[in-house]
Amino acid sequence: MVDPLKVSQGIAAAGLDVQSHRMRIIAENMANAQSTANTPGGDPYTRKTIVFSNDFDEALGSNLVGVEQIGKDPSPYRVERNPSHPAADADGNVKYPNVNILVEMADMRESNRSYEANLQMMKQSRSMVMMTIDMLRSS
Amino acid sequence: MLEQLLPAISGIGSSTPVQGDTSVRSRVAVTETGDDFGNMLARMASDTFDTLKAAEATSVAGITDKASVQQVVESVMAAEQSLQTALAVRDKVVSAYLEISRMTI
Amino acid sequence: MSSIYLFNIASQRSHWLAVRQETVTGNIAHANTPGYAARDVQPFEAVLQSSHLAMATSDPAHVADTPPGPDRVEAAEEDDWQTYDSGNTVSIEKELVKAGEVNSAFALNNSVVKTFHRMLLASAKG
Repeated sequence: MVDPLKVSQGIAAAGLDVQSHRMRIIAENMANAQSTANTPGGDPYTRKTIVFSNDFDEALGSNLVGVEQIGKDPSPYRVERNPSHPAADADGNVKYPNVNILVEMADMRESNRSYEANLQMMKQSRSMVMMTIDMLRSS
Repeated sequence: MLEQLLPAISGIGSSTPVQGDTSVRSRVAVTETGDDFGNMLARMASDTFDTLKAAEATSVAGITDKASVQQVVESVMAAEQSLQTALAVRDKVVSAYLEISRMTI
Repeated sequence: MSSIYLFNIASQRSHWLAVRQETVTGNIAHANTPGYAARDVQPFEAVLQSSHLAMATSDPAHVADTPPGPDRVEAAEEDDWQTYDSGNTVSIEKELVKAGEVNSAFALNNSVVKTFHRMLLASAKG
């Protein structure tokens, strides 16, 4: 018979994995927030987005969260006027990445919170198993 | 061990009085129809045996990762309870038998 | 043997709590999955009533059988603490509260069973 506590540890582990992927994407976005193109008039760094999926896992026998895709944010680039910039196009405009640092910071906090919640679930499932085993001790 | 005591126990439970040092084991056939006490003890002994077997099977399944922790713990606790009870009954029965065997005729 | 009833109920409760823990963990893991609806298990009373056959058993050798599992239901959260555009209805705070309830109920369940087990052994010794 399937042990729900064992399954929940697997579920929490998948959650941790997915949130750490998300943190990586956020870190990448934040690090490249000011990365313009090399060529004049070229496109700068495009903000990356991550979408999660809900797939059934055979081995565990339950639905696990996973990374569906890592996509590109279609919102328009930030344009600034700076004719002396190497990436300035004919009009003197430079395209900057469509990354908003505040949005990334908020995302990072939320991802951190989800990570800690998943970690707490993992710890609780494990402690519930240990509590069950403890019943046999000293009785 | 309890299975060996069973014929003796059944003999004690029967309504006919103990006669001399005639072996009580000869009464096994007579008590087949069963007095309540004898049957109860026999049933208890076989239940204990079944519980222990089930606990062993579940523990092996737990060790080979086929049963859940909760099932293993439950069956082991049930086995411990029924074994403890059976041991207490066995001790009482043995001391009662010894007491009766010491009775003057 | 009146303790059999207690041990039986405690066993069902233990399983119910484990399934609820699995559900809550799944909810938290899917907190950012679009379109995921938060789930919860049926209340314990409902599970208890549907299995009155199990209460009549007196043979401890049958404990190893699979207990009837609580069905998972999609809970329509009556009072949403937050609403998300993506259709995700998981509130991490609510799930953490549920997890806390599961933890304390599980600890209580186990302590009760352990104590009654010890009392039964002590009474058999004397």
